[in-house]
Amino acid sequence: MSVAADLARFIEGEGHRTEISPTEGVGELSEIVFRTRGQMFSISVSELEPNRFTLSTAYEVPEWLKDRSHAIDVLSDVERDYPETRFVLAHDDTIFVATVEYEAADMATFFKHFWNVIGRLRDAGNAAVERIVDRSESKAAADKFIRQFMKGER
Amino acid sequence: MTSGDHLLPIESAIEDEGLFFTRDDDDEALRITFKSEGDRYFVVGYRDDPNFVMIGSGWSLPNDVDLAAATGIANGLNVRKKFVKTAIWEEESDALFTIELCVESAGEIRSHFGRLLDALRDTAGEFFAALGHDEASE
Repeated sequence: MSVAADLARFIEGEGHRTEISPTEGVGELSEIVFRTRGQMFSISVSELEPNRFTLSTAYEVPEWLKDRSHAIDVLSDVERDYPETRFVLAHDDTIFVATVEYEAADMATFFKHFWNVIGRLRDAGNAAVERIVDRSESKAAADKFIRQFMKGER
Repeated sequence: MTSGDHLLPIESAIEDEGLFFTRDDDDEALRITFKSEGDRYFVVGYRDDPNFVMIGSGWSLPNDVDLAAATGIANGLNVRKKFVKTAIWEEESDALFTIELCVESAGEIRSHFGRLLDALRDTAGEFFAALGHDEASE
């Protein structure tokens, strides 16, 4: 059984539907996609490096967020709190992708820690979303207040 | 007694979550079991009471658990939690986390199903953290 099929079988045994798609060459790099707690996750694994896994999940950047540089700053900040996680803006900065590279001694070890790794990745993504939203809302509210203040409405 | 399967919208909700499920109905009760992140959950309805739906998870407590302490923690959670009821079945040494709902149709639950699962999961997590144990076997 391939590493991808083995991993998919584990995730399905945990109750989750999976989709496997070969992404590069036959039998080399595969992507397994599944959903948990309302969020899609993907895991890339190569048959040539069966103990190295790339786990990713994507979040939308709020459409109303005008200042994209703010998102970049926040993602850099969150990377410091979650040093194993890397964030990348994608699709014209409309989403960001959180990624963890995980190297396990073997598949059994990866399975043992699987949900902790997923949980940590989710925490990192959620922290980024919260900080992007919180600071943007605060700044927008402050800007609105200043505009009203200058017009004498406050 | 009605013959309709009023848990069908729950099946859809479980599919929305990307999960597998199995049915285990009998003449009186409708039952769905499923797993999420390896933890097992159930949904129960009664054919003669289509407005009632129970969603829950159950865990076997470790042998060395002080059941009085476990009951105290459960009572504390029951005071604080909005949805989830925590019960200790002392004879079986089990902890049961349930949400019991009265609805016009189980379809009303579908869009909130993820939130309800989170509530169950968080309550079990808090219970075992307070007990000083990792989550025990189901």
